[in-house]
Amino acid sequence: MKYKMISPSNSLTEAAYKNNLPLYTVFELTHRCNLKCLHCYLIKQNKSELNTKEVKTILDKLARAGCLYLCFTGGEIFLRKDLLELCAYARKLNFDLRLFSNGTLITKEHAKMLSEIGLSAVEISLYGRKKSHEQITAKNNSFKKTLVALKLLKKYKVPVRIKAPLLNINFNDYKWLIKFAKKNKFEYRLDPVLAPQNNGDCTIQRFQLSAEKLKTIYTDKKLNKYLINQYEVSTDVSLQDVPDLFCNAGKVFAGISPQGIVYPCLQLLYPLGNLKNQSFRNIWHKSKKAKRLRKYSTKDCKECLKCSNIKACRRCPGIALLETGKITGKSKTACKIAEIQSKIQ
Amino acid sequence: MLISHSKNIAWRVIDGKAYIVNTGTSCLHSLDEVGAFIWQKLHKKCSAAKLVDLLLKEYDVEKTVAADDVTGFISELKEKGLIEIQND
Amino acid sequence: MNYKILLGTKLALNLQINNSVNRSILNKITERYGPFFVRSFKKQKVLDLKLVFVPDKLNQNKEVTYKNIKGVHCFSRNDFQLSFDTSKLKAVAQLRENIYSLDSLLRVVFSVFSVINNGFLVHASGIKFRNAANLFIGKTNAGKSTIAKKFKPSAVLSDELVLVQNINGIIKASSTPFWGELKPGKTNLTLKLKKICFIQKSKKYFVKNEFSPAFIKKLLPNILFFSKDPKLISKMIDTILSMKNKLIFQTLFFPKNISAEKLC
Repeated sequence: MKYKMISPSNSLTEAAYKNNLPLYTVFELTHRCNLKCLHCYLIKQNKSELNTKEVKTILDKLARAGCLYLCFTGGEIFLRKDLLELCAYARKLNFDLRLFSNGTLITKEHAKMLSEIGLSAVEISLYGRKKSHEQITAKNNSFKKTLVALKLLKKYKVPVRIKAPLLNINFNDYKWLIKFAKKNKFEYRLDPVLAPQNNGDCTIQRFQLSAEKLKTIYTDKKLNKYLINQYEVSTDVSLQDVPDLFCNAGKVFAGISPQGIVYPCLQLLYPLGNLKNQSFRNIWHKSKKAKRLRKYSTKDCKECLKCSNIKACRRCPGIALLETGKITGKSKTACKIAEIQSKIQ
Repeated sequence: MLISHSKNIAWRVIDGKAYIVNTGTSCLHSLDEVGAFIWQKLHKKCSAAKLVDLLLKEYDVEKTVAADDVTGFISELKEKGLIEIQND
Repeated sequence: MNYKILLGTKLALNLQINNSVNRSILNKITERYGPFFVRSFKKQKVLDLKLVFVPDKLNQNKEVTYKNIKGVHCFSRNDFQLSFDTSKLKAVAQLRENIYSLDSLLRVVFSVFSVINNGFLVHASGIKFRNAANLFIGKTNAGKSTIAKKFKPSAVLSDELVLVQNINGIIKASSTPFWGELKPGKTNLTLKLKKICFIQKSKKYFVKNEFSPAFIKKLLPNILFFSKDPKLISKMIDTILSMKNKLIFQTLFFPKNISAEKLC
């Protein structure tokens, strides 16, 4: 074993990998939403969600399991009446907590309380100027409500990050978004890649940016660090000079659904177990599915091995599973992006 | 003088080391084993003298060395915004 | 990470840390042992010590225990485990990742290393006076640090553990990085040893000369040594006997307000 001097973040990542800790967890508290965004991957189902006590029990387990970075998402989380109670509880357990929200339901009282609770950020979906924003949310007045929320969060000094998928509908607003974020001293992240819906339906991908527009985005050097890197490359490169076609999902990333199902991440819908009838420890460390997932590597993606664009590929196993039915499948979304990235590099 | 964790932090102890996020700056800090030991004692308000006593019980160290180390450590944590100090 | 540490003129230790560590402990290592770092070793026989940090307690022992396993000296406490092959000058250790455990481990390492190099580590305050060293020997609370505080820092070899060696017939005392109450000094001295005083706090000042075998009986309990190996013990006794007629041995009864001049 070779010695090396390492920074705190590398040391933490190394410890997390070594122990398979779910260092980063995204917890979906609800699938209910007050908007009907065109690109939404969620399928509306009438399934019951975990109650307050059940969520708190899971949070206890996550804290003991070593999760540090926790995110509450939905649906729209502010539809849960117990949200602030859950946020306060999570902070008592010393999580670094972020919230994902469309902002339309955030009130002054919410903003005040969130400021006292102490979050790392509230990430608000803002898609562009009023016209494109409301075209995407399919709800009149949603733009104004989101702006009001942003103003309130800013007033009460709650850190904000603006997030937007880049669709062909709002592409022309991306520069406006950046300007708006910078003017208000908000962080921002843009995501040019659209995933299929959770049932594998790819029709929403018709809103995906064209190859030409993707090229514009990827060649805009000012944007590089602000693009959501959905395809986090593992630090463990298993093939020389070839990226790992498997990300950190199920290794140091975890996802939990509103029904308590544990996934390697909320994009990779390969259920590992249900927290209602199994312990987190058993699901995460002992289940056959978790162990099988962690054994996958680039060499299992047989269709990809001879691809000339493999070095530029940032394949998402979750999208591959939705598109092809196989975690090791060849994702056409990834192929499209890799093709463009190869030409740029 | 009573010392405790700041409000704007998140943390975990993993493999004997403490990893602390200053949620205001998103900066991640790590503490070695002794640091992690002291850090965990600070979840409740604690005096420097009490921390020295706790160190002496846990480790094979001279009292003056432990006292010096605690003083240095507290001032480092204060500088990084990770603790609050309250005068009695 | 590799550190080359030299105690005295002979005890050359190549310390290799074998796993990824926090910067803070490396800073502490430099702070404590820095005055003893060298760029390269000259003609010394070098001890290679490989170290691996572990996150948990190793066992329940609060005190250092010793076993000889096929000629390898094995020391163990709840925070470290050391295997030292004196014939090959190789050692491996596991320990908890904190500077106190490392310090304890290195004390044990040097306690053995010094014995096989005609020396030993003794609980003493070592003071430089007129280009020679005087040692004030005693266990905890005997007054070693009290005495050391009466001298300027640059004249103190250590207020806790001093290295004594017979080098080609001359008895020498050297600084060590192992300190007690006083802050570790920046000096690294090796001096001819002139006098050893066994100290005792008293209301009045009094000095009593000691001769063999009395001084051996007084010296032995103050030597840092954990092994029960008869060969090592025999070597240590030989070194002590070689000091006879080369040094002054005294028992010093001293009041708190004694002057530095009177001590030396």
